[in-house]
Amino acid sequence: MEARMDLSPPGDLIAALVFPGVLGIFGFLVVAIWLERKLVARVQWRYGPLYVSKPLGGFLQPVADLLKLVFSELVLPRHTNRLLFAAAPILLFFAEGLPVVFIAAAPGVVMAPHPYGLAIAVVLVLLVAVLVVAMAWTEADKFTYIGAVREILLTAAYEVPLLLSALSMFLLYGTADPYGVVEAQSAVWGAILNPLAFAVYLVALLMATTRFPFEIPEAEPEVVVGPYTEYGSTLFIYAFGANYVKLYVLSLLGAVLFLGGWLPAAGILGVFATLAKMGVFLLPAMLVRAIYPRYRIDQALRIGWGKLLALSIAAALWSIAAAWIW
Amino acid sequence: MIVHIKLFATAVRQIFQRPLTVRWPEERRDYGDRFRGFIVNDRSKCISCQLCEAVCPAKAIKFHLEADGRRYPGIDWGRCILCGYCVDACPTGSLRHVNNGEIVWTSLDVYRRPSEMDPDDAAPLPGTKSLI
Repeated sequence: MEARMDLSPPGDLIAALVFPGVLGIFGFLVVAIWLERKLVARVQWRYGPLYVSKPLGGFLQPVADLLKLVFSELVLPRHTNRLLFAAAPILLFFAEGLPVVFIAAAPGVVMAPHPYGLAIAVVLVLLVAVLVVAMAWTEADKFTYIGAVREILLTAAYEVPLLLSALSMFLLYGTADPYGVVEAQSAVWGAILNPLAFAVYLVALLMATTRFPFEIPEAEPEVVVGPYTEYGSTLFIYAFGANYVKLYVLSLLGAVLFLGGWLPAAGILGVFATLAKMGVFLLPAMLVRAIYPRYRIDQALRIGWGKLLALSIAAALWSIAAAWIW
Repeated sequence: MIVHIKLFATAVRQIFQRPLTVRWPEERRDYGDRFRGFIVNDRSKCISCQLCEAVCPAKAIKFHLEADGRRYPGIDWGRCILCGYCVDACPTGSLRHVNNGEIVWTSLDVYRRPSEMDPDDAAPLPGTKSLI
């Protein structure tokens, strides 16, 4: 472990506070909401949010929304356990952010380096998914019940392909260490080494963050907002923000596993390289909102357990063959 | 598979095209010169034939006795649908449309008496961005 201390303690402090930690997550929330609304609006030939800060292109609109939400009335329904009702989204928000503890954004910028760090991060992402269902259950509402059932069905469908895709990359690199994974990609990126796993990861990312075309638990014409229906002011920020934090975590994981992490930059500038590569995952995830309609739940499950699972098994076999040959 | 790539290509191409929407109220659309907007009456040409009252499908026009001893039309703007039948029916052309259809009222009293329907009464509310 001593050999891994490239930077003195500020290394993991930067990771905890700036990127990919606190400032990274909250900055991402503000930027991602604005970027998504603006991008989708431009695809649809309209302007997007432009009223709040027109010289900045409406950039402060999410900040204005967050401020308004904080000051609006917090409603705690009488017919549920109020402590759990209030605690569930807060717990969900911070639990969704847990996997970043193990992911490295640059050499030395990681909070808890561990030989199996990335594997732990993937498992944490999968385990935390069930907290959304717990949150929906505390709301005691028929819409959230439907949303929760759809969410858990979708989770079961994407879990195995996501895990297999990550596992096939670990097999190919021979390590799950946050530094080793990036160093093993110094010649060729993981997306080119195993494109099947990359494709599976992209689709599993869309399923995991319930983006179109898999926006089934939050389908607005059917269930009001799905699992987040009953939440009001600050709790809504936590509940809905948890969805964006999951997107952040999965994009970061994808950038490190498939796109070569902080290469070719070295040292602290690797942070910017990782950020740019996260954008490769973020931009399609936002554009699909304007492109695809929504699948039915049975169509999405058929994809998850059929084609996606077959593709992920093929990706794992490809990795085994490639690791055997080289 | 190729369909998905075409979808993304269309979306990216559309990002770089100009938006079609209008940033109301800073910009307004130009609807042309013959737009059927607010209705005004030029009392010097009006002959009080009451054809406009007879033809109005919403029964929005009523006639009143004015100060000079003749009757002129007044329009109830809670009923008027800007269809333009009265303007078409008017034989002298005293009833006219103004070019603007964005009509704003600040109270529920929406009846325009004949003396308020002169062509220069179609003015913006002061201090706002409204047009009539």
